[in-house]
Parts: sequence; structure tokens; C-alpha cells
Amino acid sequence: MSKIVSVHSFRGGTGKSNTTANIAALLAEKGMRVGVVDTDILSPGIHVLFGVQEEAMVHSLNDYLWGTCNVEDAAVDVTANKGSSEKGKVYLIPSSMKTGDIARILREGYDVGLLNDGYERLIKQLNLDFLLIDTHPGLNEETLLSIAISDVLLIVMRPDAQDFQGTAVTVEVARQLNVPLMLLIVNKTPSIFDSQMLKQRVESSLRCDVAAILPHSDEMMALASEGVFVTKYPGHPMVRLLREVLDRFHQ
Amino acid sequence: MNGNLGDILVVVGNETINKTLLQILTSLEQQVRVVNEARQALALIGAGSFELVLFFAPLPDMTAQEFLARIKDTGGTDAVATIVIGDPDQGAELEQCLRAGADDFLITPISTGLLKARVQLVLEHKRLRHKHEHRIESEELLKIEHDIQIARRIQAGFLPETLPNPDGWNVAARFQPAREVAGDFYDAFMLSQNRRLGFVIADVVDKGVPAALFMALVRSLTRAFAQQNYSFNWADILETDTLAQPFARKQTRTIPSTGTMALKNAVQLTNNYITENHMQDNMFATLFFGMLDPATGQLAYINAGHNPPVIFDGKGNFKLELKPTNMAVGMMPDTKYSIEFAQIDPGDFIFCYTDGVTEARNAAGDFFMENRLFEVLARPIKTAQELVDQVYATLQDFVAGAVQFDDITMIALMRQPEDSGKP
Ligand SMILES: Nc1ncnc2c1ncn2[C@@H]1O[C@H](COP(=O)(O)OP(=O)(O)O)[C@@H](O)[C@H]1O
Ligand SMILES: [Mg+2]
Repeated sequence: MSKIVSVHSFRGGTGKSNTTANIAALLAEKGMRVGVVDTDILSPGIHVLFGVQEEAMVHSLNDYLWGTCNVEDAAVDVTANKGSSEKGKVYLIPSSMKTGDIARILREGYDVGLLNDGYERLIKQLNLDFLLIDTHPGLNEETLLSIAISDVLLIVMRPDAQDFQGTAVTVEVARQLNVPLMLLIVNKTPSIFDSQMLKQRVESSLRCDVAAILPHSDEMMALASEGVFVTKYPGHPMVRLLREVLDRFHQ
Repeated sequence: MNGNLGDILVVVGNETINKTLLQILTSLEQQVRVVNEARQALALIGAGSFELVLFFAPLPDMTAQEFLARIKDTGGTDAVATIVIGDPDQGAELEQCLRAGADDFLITPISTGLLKARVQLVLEHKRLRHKHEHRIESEELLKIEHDIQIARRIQAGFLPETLPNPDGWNVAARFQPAREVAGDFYDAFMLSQNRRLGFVIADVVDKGVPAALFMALVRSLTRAFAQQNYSFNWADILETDTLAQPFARKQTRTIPSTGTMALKNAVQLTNNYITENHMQDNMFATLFFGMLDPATGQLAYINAGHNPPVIFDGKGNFKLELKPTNMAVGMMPDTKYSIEFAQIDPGDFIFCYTDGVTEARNAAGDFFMENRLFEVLARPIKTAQELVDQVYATLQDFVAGAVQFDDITMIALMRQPEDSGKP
């Protein structure tokens, strides 16, 4: 059974895209076929992490929404070791970076129902084990739809008062949408924080499981989204913490 | 002068009628009747076909003014013409009569030439006036007729000029209004970049011009709302308790799939608009809106109180009727319309119709009924056009020229059988 995993955060810059890319890479490492959809149509970005150049995008999610291609036609193979015979794969369905395309979405909107059908079709056509959805921060219609159809919802937050409040809203909405599994990831934790205490505090105040407390990492900052962290630093302690998140998916 | 014209009535009062007067009048080839009193005269005017009343003032039983007023009352603008006759010393009274509506006057002694001339003049005037008024009346009728023709043309413009025919499907419709303008409509158009075929059949619960105006409104709103990518109202989904059932989650019923938001918006927003702005008109429409995926045959639909469309398979077997899911559009503010799903397999067709079909009556007063309709639908039929034509022909045979009471509207979509698909 394939699983849909949405990665969301109430506010931007929490590390949503990096987390999505890392989890995709780790799943592929385990031999999984993974699709990553950038539904952050208004501020796309995850393609940068996978090193996909704008010129290399033959099609994008936008083209599918506008009916000029099938959704799988927009998929780009971004598997780390593309040459290898490993079974694991990562396919990215990027959103268009063209100003005109983003403006058109703003102007015309689109039928959100297409996303639902597009996800289903991707899973079938690319024979996926996992479909990861990188969402737009906050609650808008595509985010809501993505949450509603997810098997797993990962909510990324920083140990920050604003993030706390916002995350509480998201958790409440996801509860109403009856998401089968909802997990929090606390990211960019300063080294002076005690992980165990922070975990307890978050869990008790938001009444939701925390899957990982990820430290703030200078290497990650320095990587500056020019690669997928777990591929670049396979030995980093953060990788182990992220692997533990994957183990929770089978709950 | 024309003998067919009305007669002349003379009210002589206490005067004895002058023989020459009578002779003159008779020479005008008019029938002449003489009475003594105003009351008798009025009774005759009310019943008869007099064109002109000549009367001598003063009258024995009422004032001349009253007499003139009552003549007007009986005939309105078409009242008989009047000439008052008086003595030379009655100038003031004659003047009063003219003000009260008398057409002309004569002074005794009456000269033959003058009498003839006056009578002819007054009659001519009256006839001209009459003709003029009738022309205005028929001009008005013509104008209304013309307006209805325009209304009809405008309304025809609200029906689709061509029907979409996506690969593997054929679509046909028929529309026969009972009066010049109708309250039914059908529509069909492609949506979501040709990925969905939306089709509508609706029946406004009234007839004539008001229904036609309402039809135009409903048709425009449903199409406009269906073609907009309105924001999916997430507050809505948060309020839906069906999502709370774990196994309902994966079903597309509450979570939008392609075209379902358009479907919901089209019906729900139209209902909101009408109930907010036209509630006092007390009009509503039963409406079926289908959203078909031509590639798979999956049909999402809302049936707002419309008589159920039916699905038959290629062998003429009845498969399914798509019963109402909600109330008619325009009935209740804030109705939450729910979407249902059905499958149309290769070789199947869906037939939508208004109750003008099943409730068509023959001269004996019998209804066409569902059983006669289903008999036609079960025949071996190859295209939607053939289907619609056969239903209509059978209906015509049945009613055999009896007056059509209700609009007859139908739309059919047929999916080609697998083997006969395009190469
Ligand atoms: N654990 C971390 N430590 C340090 N920097 C991080 C960490 N996680 C993410 N970042 C940085 O934060 C920025 C925003 O991350 P990104 O994944 O794009 O967030 P989002 O998608 O939520 O907007 C990037 O510059 C990224 O390198
Ligand atoms: Mg991002």
C-alpha cells in the first residue's frame, strides 16, 4: 500500500522543503519509489535542493493543472545515484518558476480537485511507494486538500512562540480532517536547549507526538539549499534522527 | 353612406318630431329610431348598435349633462356620437352640452342642408376616431407579438449552439417549448481544460415569460459558477462530519476531485444567489447537473429535485436512476448540496428529461407515462441523436396533435461500445 505524506508548517522558513527532500532521499535509500510534489505553487523551491535547473523543467505541475500534459509527464528523476541499479527512486514534480505562470495561478486559480486526481495518478503511473507533498505555509486550499488526503502529516516547527501558536491551529485542523497519523518535527533547535525537555513541553502543549527534535546545524545553513543534506553528510547525527522519523510511518 | 353602419336614435322629448327631419335622416340611408325619454334612449344605446344620437334639449327626465355622461359611461371612447338640438334662446345650455361631450349642435328651425352636413361630419369623425383607436390597439398587439419573438430568440441563445462530443461519446438534445417561451433548459459544455463534460437539465416551476426570465438567470449562473475556479471553502470541509468516519476519508465524496468543486459551486452558489436576491419571486427550478469524466465514464452529479435521469445499458436493460440528492434550486437558503457518483460503461447511455415528456397528454387526457418512455429507451439504439428522435417521435404519435401543456426537454449522452471505438 502506497502512502501519502504531507509536510506542512504554519509559517515559512521552518525547514519544510529541506525536511521533505531529506526524507525522500532516505526513503529511496531504503529501496522505496518516492514521488515529491511541490504544491507550494506560489513560492516553489524544492527543485533547487534536487539541483533541477529551471531550463531542465520540460513540464511542471502548472502544465498539468492547465491541461497541457499528464501529471507524470512533469516528473523529473532526481534520484541521488541515478546510474546505480538500486530500486529506490525519487521523482520530483516541480512547480513553475516563471513569473507569468505564478501570476496566472493567482489570476485564474485552478480546480483543486485536479491535485487529488493528480496524486492518485502519479502513484499509479510511477508505481510509487510514497508520495511526499511539500506544501505552501499556512492554510490554503491546496494545503487543506493535501492534509485531508494524507496518510501521514508531518508538521515542521521551530522552537519559537509564533510557531507554537500557528502549529496549534494546524494540529486542530488536521484533527478535524481526521488524518490517520500526525507527527511534529521541531527543527532548528539551538544546541543550548535540552531535547528531552523540549519534546515533553511540545507534546504536552500541542497534544501531538513529536517524531524528532532536529538541531540547528551550521553545515545545513552552509549548504544553503544547494543539495540534499542527508546525501551530502550521510554521517551527520541529524541523519539518524531523520531515519527515526521514517520508522514512525509504519505505525 | 354605408347602410351597414349603426343606426340613428332621436330623442324628441316633448317636441313633436318634425316630418322633414325624419325624411332627411332616412335619406342618409340610416335606420332611424325615435324615442321620447332619455332613459329609453340609454337602454337602447346600451343594448343596440347606434352610431349617433340626436336629442332635443331640455330632456324631460334628466339634464342634458347627465345624459351625455351616461352615454360616455356605456361606450367609453367608443361611445356613440351626439348632436344636441335647441332653440335659438338656449345658447348657454347648448354650450354646456358641448362642454359635457356633445359632438355638435343644431339650432331650430333645422335646415335640410345643415342637418345633412352636420350628421355626416359627426359620423365621419366618429368613424375616423374609431379606426385610429383600433389601429393603436393592433399596433400594440403587434408590438407584443414582436417582443415575444425577440424573447424567444434571446432564449434560444441561452441554449448551447453546439453540443460537445468528446472521444467515445455522443450527445444529443431536444427542446420543445409549450408556449412561445419556456421555463425548461438544457446545457452541455466542457470544463477543466476538456477533462470534464458538464451537462444540465432544468425545469422552472412556472410557465411563460416569468419562467423564461428565471430560466435565463439560472442557466447563466450555473454556467458562470461552474466555469470559475472558486476557492474551495475549507470552512465547509471542516464542518462536514462525514470526514470523521475513518473509512470515508479515501472516498472522493467529500474531498474534491477534478470538476467536483465546479459542480458544487454551480449548484450551491446559484441557490445562494437566488435565495438571497429573488426569494420574493417564489420561483424555483428542479435541476440535474452531471459532471462526466469522458475517459473513465465516471459521473459525479447533483440532482436538485429533478425527476431522475436514467442509465440503460447497450442491450436495453435499465441499470440505474439518479434520484434527487437535494431540494430544488431557489427553495431554501443555504442548502448544502451533496455529490453522488455513478458509472456509465461502454455501450450505456444516460437519458435526462423534464416532466413535460412523461406528462404529455393525448386528446383523451391520458399521460405518456414512464412505461411508454422506458419502452422506447429499451429499443436497440445506436446514437444519442437517434434516441432523442425516437422518444420525440413516439411522443408525437401518442399525443396525436393534442395541445402541449408543458415544455418538453431532453438530453442524452451515449458512450460508444468498446469494440466500435474510433480506430
Ligand atoms: N536544521 C537546520 N539548521 C540550519 N538551517 C536550516 C535547518 N533546516 C533548514 N535550514 C535552513 O532554513 C532555510 C529554510 O529552509 P526551507 O527548507 O527552505 O524551509 P521552508 O520550506 O519551510 O520554507 C534554508 O536556508 C535552510 O538551509
Ligand atoms: Mg519550502
